[in-house]
Amino acid sequence: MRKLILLLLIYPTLLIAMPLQGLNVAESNGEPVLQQEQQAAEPLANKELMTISHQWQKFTFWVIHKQREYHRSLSAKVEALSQQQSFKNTGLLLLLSFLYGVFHAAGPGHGKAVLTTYLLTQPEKLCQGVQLSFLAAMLQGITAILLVTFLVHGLGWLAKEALASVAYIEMISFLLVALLGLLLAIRGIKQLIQTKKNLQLIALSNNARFFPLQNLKTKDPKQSLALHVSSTVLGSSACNSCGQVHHIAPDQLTGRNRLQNLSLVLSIGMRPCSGAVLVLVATNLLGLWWIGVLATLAMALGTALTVTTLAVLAVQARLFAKRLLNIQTHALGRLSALFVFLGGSLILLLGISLFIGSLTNSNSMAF
Amino acid sequence: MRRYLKLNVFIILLVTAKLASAHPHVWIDLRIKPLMNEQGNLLGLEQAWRFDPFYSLVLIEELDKGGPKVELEERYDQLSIEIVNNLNGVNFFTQGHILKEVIQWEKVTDFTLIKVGQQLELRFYLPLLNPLKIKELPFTYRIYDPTYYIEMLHATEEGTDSSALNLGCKIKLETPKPSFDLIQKALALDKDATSNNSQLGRNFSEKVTLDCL
Repeated sequence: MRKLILLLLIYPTLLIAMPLQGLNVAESNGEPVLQQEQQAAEPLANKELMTISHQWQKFTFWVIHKQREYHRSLSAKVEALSQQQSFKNTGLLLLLSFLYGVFHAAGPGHGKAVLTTYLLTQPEKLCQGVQLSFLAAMLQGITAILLVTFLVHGLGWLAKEALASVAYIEMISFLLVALLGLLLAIRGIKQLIQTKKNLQLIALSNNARFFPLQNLKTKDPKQSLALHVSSTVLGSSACNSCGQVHHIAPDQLTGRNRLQNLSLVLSIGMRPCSGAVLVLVATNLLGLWWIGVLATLAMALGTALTVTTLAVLAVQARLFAKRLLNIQTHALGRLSALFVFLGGSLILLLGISLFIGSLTNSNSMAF
Repeated sequence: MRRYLKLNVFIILLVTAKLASAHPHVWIDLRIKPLMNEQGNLLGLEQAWRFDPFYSLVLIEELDKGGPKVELEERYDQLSIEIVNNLNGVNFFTQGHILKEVIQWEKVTDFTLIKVGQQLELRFYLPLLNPLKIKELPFTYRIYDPTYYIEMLHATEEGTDSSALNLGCKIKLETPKPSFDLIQKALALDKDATSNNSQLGRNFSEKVTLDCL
């Protein structure tokens, strides 16, 4: 069961590795016969899993349908606004944009994959996870606005060109994803080495029983640090803005965390939602630029809501797993270091594969 | 046993993921008119594709700003030629069948791109390679982008036009009801699930049957 939960949460990562589909120009042949030939007898134990995945599938399906619906009504509403501007129409457009954001974010995307992997393998606190995801989602909207402002209003580009530019910015964000993964992987390795050292120290101190325990800390600052680190690796890092007193991690850890968090937020937030860019250029063409800006912000808010929920789930899943595993602290230190390394490698691979995919698959505009 | 379990979940997740990432970004409203000759043979499909408002806006801007005003018409023609060249290879996403047999198409003729209000519409005629005897042999067609990047549905009003059909012929349109199981199976059966040979769009396509007594 716990594996399932973890799997469900890491799941966005698994799938984004697949190339996004562009326009298919392959000849297809005939009506494929979709008969029930594949219905191999499912083992009984699979039943439970099947129902869960079935529910999940239903949910995904529902999300797609909603998204499609909102996308259509969004464009209908923008058209209506161009005919007649009214508070009612504007309000409805903003509401639609918000809902579109909620549902658009509910589908898998690389940002969510990165975020969940990061939060599953990093010792971030809940509030920090919430902050990071909220920031990243809002940044996506702001990036879209800045991009269109710069390209269309500043440089006088065509809407189509501005839309096409999203692909290039995407590439940069994929590289950032890879960089984030690399940072994490390196940190994981460092931690692994460190915890190994610590373990040796702890083993030493365990053997040396005649040392009074209270004196241990004062005697050798290295040892105290060792114990400290191994118990805080998974537990916490600084999250000062939440007003709670936390175990303050060593400074070097925090500094690196900041860099990591920054690249996390940027790798997600730098990539503008293509839907938002579309709404912006379309409203601009109809002379409704400011309504487009508001709609984009509403969309980003909707996205933030979903992504933040996902972040809460990811952090909870990690804490849940930690409790279930119930491993002694020093072993946990190693395990978490391993997790950091694995998560980092996963994100690195994801970034690289997305980047390579974007090189070969750049014909996202139809025809 | 446990391994199987995991594998199963993994595959299911991949499948749903693929589905979720492949939502339509552009849509086209179709209006289709089948043409027949006096012998009761089907000759081809007259089609009108209306692009969605956003996509139309973007294209119209490009056309408007693409050069001097006097050459606007030529730019429309140029764009229509480009689209036709791109889509002739895939028969304009049109799949025709008679008794499970795939029907061959000719290249499109009489194509033109026009502006209707704020939307663009491409009109063309897609002829069959050979006139088709459809008396008592129901002919079916589907029009869809396999990747589901574009959603193509018949317009809610006058999506199909039976005015050029002989007496005793009927058009029936079935809206897609893709069940979760069906999609799951379709994707599982899709041998090249990761390649571009996806048939996802088919599951969301409308099936139109032409029945002549």
